[in-house]
Parts: sequence; C-alpha cells; structure tokens
Amino acid sequence: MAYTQGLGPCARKSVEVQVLFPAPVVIYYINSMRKFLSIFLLSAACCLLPAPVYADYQSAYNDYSYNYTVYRNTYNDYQVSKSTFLTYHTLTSQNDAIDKMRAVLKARDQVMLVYYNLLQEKLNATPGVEESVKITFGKIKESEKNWLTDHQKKIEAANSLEDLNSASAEFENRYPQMDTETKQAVGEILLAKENNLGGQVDQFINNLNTKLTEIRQAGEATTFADRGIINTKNKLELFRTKLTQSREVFYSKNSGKIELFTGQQKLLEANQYLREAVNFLSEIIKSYTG
Amino acid sequence: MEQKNNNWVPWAIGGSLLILVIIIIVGITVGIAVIKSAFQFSSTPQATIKAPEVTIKPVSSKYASDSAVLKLNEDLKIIRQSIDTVDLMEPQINTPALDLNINIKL
Repeated sequence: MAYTQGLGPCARKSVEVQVLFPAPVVIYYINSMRKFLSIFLLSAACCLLPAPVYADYQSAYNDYSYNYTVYRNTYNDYQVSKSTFLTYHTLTSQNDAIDKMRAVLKARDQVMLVYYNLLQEKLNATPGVEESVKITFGKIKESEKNWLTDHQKKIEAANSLEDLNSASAEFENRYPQMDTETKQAVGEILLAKENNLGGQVDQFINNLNTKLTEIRQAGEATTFADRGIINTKNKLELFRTKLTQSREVFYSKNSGKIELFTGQQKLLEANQYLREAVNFLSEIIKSYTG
Repeated sequence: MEQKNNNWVPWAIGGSLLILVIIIIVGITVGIAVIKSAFQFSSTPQATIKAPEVTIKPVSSKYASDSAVLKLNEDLKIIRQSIDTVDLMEPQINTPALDLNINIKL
C-alpha cells in the first residue's frame, strides 16, 4: 500500500496489480507485448506497402490463365447474344449484344495485356536470356500496354455496333504485330534455354581439357579422350547449326507469320545433337572411372 | 505235262521279289549305320568338357578415384539430366488462341 500514496485511483490500481505479480514476470510480460506489437505493426506495414505487380512468373501465369478463362466465357456469351440479336432484331437483344460484344473485346485486350506480362516474367526467370533482350521486350510491352489500354477505353466508350465493329477491326489489324513480337519472345526463351545447355557442355569440355592436360603431363596417353573430344566438338557444331536455323525461323519475316512449331522442332533436333555430344563425353569419363 | 511245267513260274517271281525286298532292307540298314557312323549320332550321351570360365577384370585406371575426375563425372550427370528434361515446347507460354473475327454485321 505504500506505493499507492500520492497517485490517482487508476495508477493506484495498476500498482496494486504490480504488487500482485512479481516484478520479473511483469517485465517479461511487457517485453513480450512490445515484441508482439512491433511484429504486428511491421506485418501491417508490409501489407499496406504497394505489392509488386508480378512477384514472379507463377503469379503472372495465374493472372493470364484467369483472364483467358474470362475471355472464353465472355466469348461464349457474345456468341449467344449475337445469335439472338440476328434472329429477333429487337432493341433488347441489340442492347444485350452491344454489352456482350463490349465485354468480349475488352477481355480480348486484357488477355494480350497479361500475356505480355507473362512473357516478360518468363524472360526474367529463364537463365541465359540476355539483358538486352529483356530490356527490348520491356519497351515493346510498354508500348503495347499503352495501345491496349487506350483501346480498352475506346471500347468502353463505344455505344453502337458500328463503333464496336470498328474497334474490333483495329485490334485485328494490330494483332499480326503483337503475334510477331510475342512469338519472338517465346523463341528467345526457348533459344536461351538450349543455348544455356550448350554453354554448360562447353564449360565441361574446358574442365575436361584441363584434366586431360594434367594426365598428358603425367606421361599417360589420352588418345581415346582426344578422339572423343573431336567427336563431341563435331556434334556441338551441328548443335549450333540447328540453333541458328531455329533462330532464323523465330525471326523470319518472309511468310508474315512466325511458325513457332517449326522453330521448336529445330530446337529439338539441336537438343538431340547435344545428347549425342554428352554421350561421347560420358564415354571419355567412363574410360577413366571404369 | 505242259501244266506241270507252268507251275514254277509264280514261285520264281515271288522268290525273286522276296530276295529283292531282303536286299532293300539290308541296304537301308547298312546305309543308316554308315550315316550314323559318319555323323557320329550316338544315343548314349557323351561327356562334355566345359570351357574354363574366364573373367575379365576391368583394368582400373589410376584416375578412377581421382577427385577431379569424379567431380567431372558428377557434373556430366547433372548436365545430362538438364538436357533430358528441358522443356522446349513450353505450352504455358504459347500464343493464346484468340478469335479475330468478332463483329456483328447486319
């Protein structure tokens, strides 16, 4: 009771509580509360901070996947409305057709928007993609993003079928350019993957050559290994030829449309040569490990 | 008298046929015996001599346990696995299938 003298009723009460519990327990309790509060505040601050638009490739893919599903659904609705309008020609069916067409056109733009984001994330996440490629694609993405955003606004403002038809035609005219840009980005991703593997094999040959030099200096014959390395390099030469052919397909502008599948086939052929090169290297290693 | 003389003819034919059959049987038997002896067909199993088992031990290189060679071996396994599992089709990032004929014309 001596502690409560000269204090207000509330303070007196708290001091009484302190008297009820031993001092170390109270200090421990206060420290714990402070820690808990600081963690809580920190977490709240993190939640309030603006999150990055695409933390990683997976979230970009989820976004793309969701928007593509939305597009497919709106497209089905549009087809039903279009059919109803073309059958009955009523004002109600016309208004419904306008709404559904507006929705599908906006969804189509949105799919392309998120597809550009997806490719950017994939380029960032794929080892071996050159920095210049990422930057160039980033600029292309921004340009297309601006176009698509403006286009979506135009669609939103359109109130007649004629205006919507016109907006749709604008996208269709723009699409070949977007198709080329995106296919080249896909090509860059695939080329980087295969090129990266080729680089690993090159590095391995360098390491192997270092060891073979050491063996040679020890006075041992390395004829089998030398022959194997020549064969490996021949396969790598064929591998690089296929890579070049694949790049030519991804950047071909003659036909107007890039044949992604043809480029992928060339890459698969390149991969086969890489496997054969690794088989030769494996034989060399086996000749030493037994 | 004439009838008596003609009776021996069938007996002579039968006798000569019998002799011919006997000759054929004997010939076949002798022939089989000759072929058997020539190709050494024998009904009794002969003792087989097993070839000595020769086990070739791989000549172990003195680099078999060399740390650098073992490291190379491990590196190559990783590279091979990467080559075998690389996805060059990437269906997730393929161009979306969009409809390019969205319009309502009367």
